[in-house]
This record gives sequence, C-alpha cells and structure tokens, in this order.
Amino acid sequence: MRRQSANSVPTESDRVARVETLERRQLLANQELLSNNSFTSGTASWTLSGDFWAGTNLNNWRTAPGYAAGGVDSAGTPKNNASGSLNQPFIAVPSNATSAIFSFYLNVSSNETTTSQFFDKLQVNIIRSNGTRDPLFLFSNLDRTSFPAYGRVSINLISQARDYRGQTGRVEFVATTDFSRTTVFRLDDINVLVTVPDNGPPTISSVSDTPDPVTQGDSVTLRGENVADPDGNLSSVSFYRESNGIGGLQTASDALVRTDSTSPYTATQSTQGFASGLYTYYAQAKDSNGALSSVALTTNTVKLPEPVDLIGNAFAYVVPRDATEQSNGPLPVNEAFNVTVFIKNLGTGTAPSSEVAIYASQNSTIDPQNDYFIESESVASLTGGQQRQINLNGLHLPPGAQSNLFGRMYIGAVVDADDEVAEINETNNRNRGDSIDRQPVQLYDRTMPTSEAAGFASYRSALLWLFRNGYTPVPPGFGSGFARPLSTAVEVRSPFDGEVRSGVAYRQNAFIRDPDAQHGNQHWIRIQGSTTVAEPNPLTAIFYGTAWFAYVEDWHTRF
Amino acid sequence: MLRLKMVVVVLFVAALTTPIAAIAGLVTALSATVSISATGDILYRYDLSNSMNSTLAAIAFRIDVAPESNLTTVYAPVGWDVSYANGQTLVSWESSSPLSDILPGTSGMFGFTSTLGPLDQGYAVLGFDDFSGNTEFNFGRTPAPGMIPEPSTTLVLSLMIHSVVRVRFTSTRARPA
Repeated sequence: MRRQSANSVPTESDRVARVETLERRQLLANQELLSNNSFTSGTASWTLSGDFWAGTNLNNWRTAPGYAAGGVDSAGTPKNNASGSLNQPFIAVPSNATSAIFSFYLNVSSNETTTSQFFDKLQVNIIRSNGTRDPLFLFSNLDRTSFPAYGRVSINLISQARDYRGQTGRVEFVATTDFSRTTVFRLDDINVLVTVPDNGPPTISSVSDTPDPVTQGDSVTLRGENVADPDGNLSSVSFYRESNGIGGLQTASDALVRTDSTSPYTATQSTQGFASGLYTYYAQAKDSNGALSSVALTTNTVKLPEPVDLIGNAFAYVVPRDATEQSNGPLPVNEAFNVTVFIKNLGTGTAPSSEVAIYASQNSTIDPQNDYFIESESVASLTGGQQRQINLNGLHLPPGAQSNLFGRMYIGAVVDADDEVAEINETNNRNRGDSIDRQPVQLYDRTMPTSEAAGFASYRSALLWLFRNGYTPVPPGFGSGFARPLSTAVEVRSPFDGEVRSGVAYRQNAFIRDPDAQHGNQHWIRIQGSTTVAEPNPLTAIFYGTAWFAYVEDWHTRF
Repeated sequence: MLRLKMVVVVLFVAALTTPIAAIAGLVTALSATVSISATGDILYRYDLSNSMNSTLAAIAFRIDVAPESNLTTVYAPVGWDVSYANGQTLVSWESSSPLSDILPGTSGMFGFTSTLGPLDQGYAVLGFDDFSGNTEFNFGRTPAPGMIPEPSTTLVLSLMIHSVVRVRFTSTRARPA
C-alpha cells in the first residue's frame, strides 16, 4: 500500500481517494476535497466571476492541460482595472483528519516595475459555510520575483490558528489590477488534501446464545459481546446463521438473522420449524467506514419440545345473586354468573399461553361449531404438571341463547380454544365430564311479574281481598304469604322444559304488607309471579322426585 | 222432561255433626243441598256452620265453580256481600263487618242457581279474629256447578246423584304475611 505523507507533495494519483483492503481492514489514504484540480476539464467544478479565466486553450500551465489566471479578462488577456474571482466548494474535512493541506501552484508575471508598491493583487481566502471569509494569502505584483515560474504555496487547514475539521467551505481566489501595467496571477494544481489515520477495524470478542439448548419453536437470543471500535465509529453488528453448508461465514449465502446498529447488539432467531440439532451462528461487527471485525461464532442446540397436554380439570359456576352462594345451582337466564375453571398441563413440557373459551350447549357435548360462545380468557404459560385457576366473571348467556336454551342445558370449557398449542393429545380439550370441564345447568327465567294492590284500611279488608281473588295460604314449610294459580289467560314458558303452558300451571304469590307512607298509610299487597308447586310437567316431577317441594323451597330461598 | 211446576228433589243432605276440637281455631261444617227446579235450573244451597268450639269468626266463604256456571239468584246471610261475575271460577261471599260475621255457634245460608249440574268442587272458609289478627282457612269439597248437562239427561243426572254425606272439618292455619 502506498501511503501519502502529510508533508509530501501531492501527486496526480493522490487526487483520488484510494481505498485498499488489507485483510478485513480498510486504510484511508489522503483524500482530495477538490475536483478538477488542474483545470484539465476547463472550468468544471469551478465558479468564475468577473475578470478571471480558466481553460485549456492557453499554454502557460504547470501541468498540461489547463490552468486558471487572474488579472486577465474572461478570454485570458491581461487587463488593467481587472476584478474577478475563482472559487470551488470543498466537501467536509473529516473530523478525524490529522491534516488538511490547502496547496496550489502560483506563477506571477507583471509589467509593473516597482519593487515596493502593491498595485495588482491576488487574495486567497477560505469562505466558511456561514459566509465568513478567512484571508489566507495576499500576493501582488511584487511577487513576480518570488514566482517567476510556478511555485507551490500551501497551508494546513488544521492548526492552532485555524481548524476546519468537520466543516465545509470554499477556496477563493480574488484578483484585482490597477489602471496600468498588467499583472497576471496564474494558478494550477489546486488541492485540499486531507490525511486521516488508518481505520482500525472493530472488534467483537464472542457471540452468546440464550437459551442453549433451545426448545423447538422458541426463540434464541444472540448477543455480540465486547463489541468495540478503536476509532469510535462502530456502526453495526450482523448476525448470521450457518445455512449454506460451507464452514465459516459467507455473508452472501449464509442466512442473515439481523443487523443491529444499537448497543447492546442482539438478534432473535425463532426456531419454529427447525429440526432438532446443532446450529451455528456468526456475528461480525462493522464500523462506519465499512471495516469488519473478525467473525465470532457460537453453536446452539435445538431440542424437541417436551410433551404438552392441556385439559380442563375442574369446572364450576356460581350466580352472585344466589344468596346461598352455592356452586352449580339454578341459573337464571338473565342473571350474571361466574365460572371457575382449572386448566392443567398433563405433559412434562411447558405449555405456552393459551385461551380457554366457555360455551353454552343444549346437550352434554360442548361443540364450538354449534354451541353458543359465551366468553374466553387467556391462560398463562403452564409448566409440566402445573394447574392454573381461571376465573371468568360477569358472564351472561348470549341473547340468542336465552330463547333457545331452557330447562336442562350445559355450560362447558374448551381448552386451547384457538388451537395454538401443539399437544400430544388434542382430543381432550373438552367434554371430559361433568364438574371436570363442564356443568349441567338448570335454567330459570328470573323475571317474575310483580304488581301491587293497595288501599286496604285494615288487615281484614286486605285479607278479604285475597280471599275474594282466590288466594290461599302457602302451607307452612313451603313459603309464606298467600298463593293462587295464575290466570288461565296468562301463558307462561316453563323454565323447566321450555313448553308454553296456561298460567294455571304456575303459582302467584301475594303478601300483605303493613301500612306505609308510600301507600297512604294503608295496608297493601305485593303480588308476584312464581313457578312453584303447580309445575305439572311429569318429566320434571320425575326428575326431581320426592325432592320436588324441597327444591321449590330452595328456589324461594335463593331468589 | 217431566212437567212439574216445582219439583224439588232432595239429592243431598249433608248431616252436620260437631266433633270436639282439641285445639280451638276455625271449626266449621258445610252441608249442601242441590235440587232441580221445574224449569230445569239447578238450585244450590249451602249451610255453613261455625262450631261452638271455634275461636274465630267465619268472615268469608267461597266456592269454586266452572266458568260456564252463570250463577243467578245468589243469596247470602244478612250483612254479607257477594262477589261474582259471569265467567269467574269462584263465587265469594264476605261479611261486611264484624257485626255480621258467623260467630262460633251460629250458621249462615248461602245459595245460587245455575244451569250446570253439580261436580265435586273446592270451597274455602276464612276465619278471622279482629282483635288478635289470627287467620285460618278451612278447605273442603262440596257439590258445586261444574257439569254441563245434556237436555235429555237432566233426569238421569238427578238419578245419578246419590245421597252422599260430606262432612268437612278443616282447619288450615294461615298467619299474616
């Protein structure tokens, strides 16, 4: 590799930034910030104004062809009272540059004869990006003796007096002549040549993989350790997975997992679909100059997951309005209920999070395709053998179900409802049994018609009203107050079997209430519908057998 | 159909015997008499007796009837009001004040006319003590309108009904709610 000393004279070959690769290192040599330095392309990249010339059609060049001249008109002819300028912007001086040599070759020829007075001048400036003009050199007709031929002029733009690192700007040449005796300032080979230190490649000590081994389907996290760049220009770390069968990293054909440009440098590789076995991962750092670190590698083992099997293990519901707080009691169709279901992982592996869904069914087979969806809840991950209690509160039978479900029905759980968990047994996610993952339910219509009769001056008159209207006392042990069959004109859908029957099949209860202000300080009667002793359905009677009356009493106690 | 100006056929005579109640309350007996008028209407008469052993006055009396009974000429003891309208399934009488209650040891006569023949129907008597508020219901069965007779079977109907003595002593206590 050829290297350019900061103090050496720039050569033609130095005018192009050169990048040479040595192993993985990129060494930046001198970098030229100006273009068309020798005017071989005429005025390209340069801006001329007023009396200044540049081109290749005249022959007073230092390096052929082309040069520029001040103190002449735009055709290059020496001119009195000339005024013009030449400038070109330069790209930013690298912040890590150690030197930035602004140099040019100057030749002064003049018809002036004085040896002491400045009549014609060439001012050399740097114009900063904010417009500030920094004067660097002033040449005059007196310099005809100093530069009778081209001579090199240079200045370092990085010094205690001036520091242009990280800045952009323009080099400017301004030439003026007075009214007589022309002076020509010729310029050639104008350079701003910066020198940057060799770029040290980044380093990476290793790449870690977690977990190892990883269960098939899980993700492994890769992390580049001790990633650094001696120049402080670390750009990114790329992680690869060996995939082309050729040992070592081939960035073009191995699988790129991720390129991370933020510390800590990590990547995540899912092993979904990976076969069990050993996998090799690579990590390589890169700096902002494209230099690459050595390749760090690690191996990671993918193992097959341990078996998972999710089941419903216990199922119960309770109606909060039920004063007895007894589980699995009668369920009013229009009352909220809470379900508690225990989900267990029968396998030895860890089951990921899943969903459990609650359905209402007209039969004992919970079938998501045909039954009524009620609610679902997420189930957190379960380790092997672990059981988790899931509470679903405030559930309601869906409106559509309320008119179709009656009497005896079922509510049950479907474990892994969205079938996201791979299980060794996919057939036991539902319908394992009563109290295990479902419950039979006796539905009731909670709504009871209520009304009031008021305006009884005495208990006797209220009593006579009840008697007149067919009420009789409820036998002790079966409730309180008075009751009578509902009117035959009233049709009631049986909560037990869904059949619509005449109201005589149902009892209407009434209670004489003490006088209160709301009822004019007179006795009043509260009347409410009920479904009690008159239920005639033989199937129901058989179902409840001798416990029927106790069941009725129980119902009254609850609601 | 026999042409009779007024043929009264006594079909039922409910004999009243008065047992001794171990626990006082409402102890009543009801005897019913059903007869057929010359026009073919069925006459129903009920004699409600409140036993000497009762501690409650009978203040109301009701009988279940068929909706088609179309009761007419409903009568009751003095001071009692009747509650009935065509189509109803019961006829009810109630004492308008304690002064007209059927006190223990007394009785009252109730009755009506119907086109329907007798069937075994339910009845209820309400006993009440205005001072203590104690209440009791007595229930029983008695002949009451319920059968729709065929025109040619009126006589047969009369012959079918045998003398049956029905005695009811019911004491069903009901407490104020």
